Amino acid sequence: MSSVALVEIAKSFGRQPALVGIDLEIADGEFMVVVGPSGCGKSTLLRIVAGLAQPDRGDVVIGGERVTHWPPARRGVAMVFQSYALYPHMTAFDNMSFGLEQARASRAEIDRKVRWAADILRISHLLERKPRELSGGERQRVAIGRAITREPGVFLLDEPLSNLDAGLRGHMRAELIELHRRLKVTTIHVTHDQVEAMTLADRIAVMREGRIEQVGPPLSLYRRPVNRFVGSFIGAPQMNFIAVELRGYADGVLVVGLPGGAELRMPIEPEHRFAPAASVEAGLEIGVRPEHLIASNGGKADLAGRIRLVEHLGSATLLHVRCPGIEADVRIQLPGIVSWQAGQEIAIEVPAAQCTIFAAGVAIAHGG
Amino acid sequence: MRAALPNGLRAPVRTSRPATAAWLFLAPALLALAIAGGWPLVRTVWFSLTDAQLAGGPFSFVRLENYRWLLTDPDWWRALRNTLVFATVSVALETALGILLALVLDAGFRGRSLVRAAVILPWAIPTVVSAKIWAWMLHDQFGIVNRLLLAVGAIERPLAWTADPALAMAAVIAVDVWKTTPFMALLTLAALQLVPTHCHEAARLDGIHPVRFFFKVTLPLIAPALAAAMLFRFLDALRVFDLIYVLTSNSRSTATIAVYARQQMVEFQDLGYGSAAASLLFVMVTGATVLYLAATRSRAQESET
Repeated sequence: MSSVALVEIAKSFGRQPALVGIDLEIADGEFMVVVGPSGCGKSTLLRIVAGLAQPDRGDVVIGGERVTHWPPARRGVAMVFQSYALYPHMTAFDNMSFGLEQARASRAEIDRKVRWAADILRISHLLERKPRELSGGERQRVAIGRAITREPGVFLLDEPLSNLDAGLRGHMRAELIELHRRLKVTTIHVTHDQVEAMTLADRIAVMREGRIEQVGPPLSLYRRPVNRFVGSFIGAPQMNFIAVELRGYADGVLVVGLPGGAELRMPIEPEHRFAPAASVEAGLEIGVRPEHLIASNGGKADLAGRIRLVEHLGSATLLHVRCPGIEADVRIQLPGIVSWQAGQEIAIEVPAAQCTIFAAGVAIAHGG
Repeated sequence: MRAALPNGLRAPVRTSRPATAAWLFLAPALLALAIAGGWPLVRTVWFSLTDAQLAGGPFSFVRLENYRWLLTDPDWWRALRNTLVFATVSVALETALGILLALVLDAGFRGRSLVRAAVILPWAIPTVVSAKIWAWMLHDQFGIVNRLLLAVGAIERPLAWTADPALAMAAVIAVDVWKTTPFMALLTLAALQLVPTHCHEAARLDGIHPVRFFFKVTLPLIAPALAAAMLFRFLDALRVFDLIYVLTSNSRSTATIAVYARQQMVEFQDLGYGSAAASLLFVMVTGATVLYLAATRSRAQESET
């Protein structure tokens, strides 16, 4: 088992920069999820850790060794590909043992390792089948099995669940968590799915356009996004963004006014405390998650509007509310089934403790 | 296995109307085939049973007499041996070199599309033209091949590449390999796409040597497509005529069955006897095809069950 450190990694394809100065440390045994929209460079990053691609600058350190120019096989990493990359003409057993034969392990040793992995992944009964005789989920398990038989120090997963249907994906998520708990192998999992990131990760690294925007535990990213991008990317349904105006700024407390006139007061983050008021005012908005807004029944009403659309999810209900002065619909998620209907007027309470204030896209104040 | 479907679902496909339409669409092609291929074939087989002369005149029916003569003619046997040697050696070399070329072309490198286009050139040149080009290049007095070999000191005096019985077959095979390797390379290149993406990378992570990967993964995956390509080439090589005729004309050391048949028919004016030789070649090529189809069909059925 090994820790992984990426030091100032940069990579471009022709003139197109793919990665711009990536620094990331992954502790021994940690489950790190790298998440971001397609084209953000996350797969390139993974391939650089694997040794399948070379960085233009920077270093890859695995288990304390600088492995930047080592061939992939020497790095002690195993990778599961999105396409599974199984050998079509080989049985599941042969797929899993092919790499071991190369390592000059004895027949008995190979057999033991493959059966151990197959047992963990519950595919022992499928070992004689070829990939085309397996379902998507079963192929996935064989691909994971092939990776774990090598007993790697680092486990690299490149969008491993994105080819599975929704139900199976949820199931395999749980299996991956279980597998990690059992093997405690350092894992880097790349995905574009924030739900996968939230459920699997010890820590998440959110990437955009070749940079890491924020690294942290899932709930800290959820509660305290450093910028608008992370706020909108993490969490579903997506965060509401409401333009606000600056009402006052004194003693580290920011007072902003909502379009309806209501005011919110929030302590500004220390590092932004001395920013001039003028720059703070440029593009000031609050971000608040739909599940944190409260449908006010005669109580405090910070926003008021008319319900345009009601989405019943069963476990929750999502209301789309058109508020005067706000461009996009404000979305409120209420638990369970509610009696609100489209066309009704609704008053909304905005709890300051759950809001984030962004100035020009950068988070400067968190309520919580 | 095909699952049994309720009759109602199968019936519309099996009505005679679409079948009639299909035959109608095929009719022009079948007619053309019958005129261009069928009729000459029937005539050739029929002439092979006669003692007809190319110049015409009266002839009579001799039944299998021509074939009896053929099978006792040492020249025919030599032609058969030449044909088989040419077909086997050239196809083997073309396949091996074609695979190598395809593997190179499959690897990403700068200017790959340009090289891909350039590679096909020998295949695109008409055989008679390329044979003529090579005939000059291999010329014993004026050829560039001899000149180069003399210049680097590989040979002491000019070699008669196409006239020397010991060299002629090698020369003919070399030119055929030059011409046909691109064809095998492009077919192999297409087959290489059957190797799933990322399999190479998975193997790199496992530290599997590229040569081992080729024999354990690539080759088994491209084998069926490769076998079909080799068969096409083999059947083509059995019928070889133009290359050998242009390069070595009637040299006995390279004459194949097709060259032998032409010689009997045109030079010796023996239409019946030449037709018999041509018919026998046809039977051999057809036989090989039928054997191959039968083999692949039984294999397909095996993998289906």
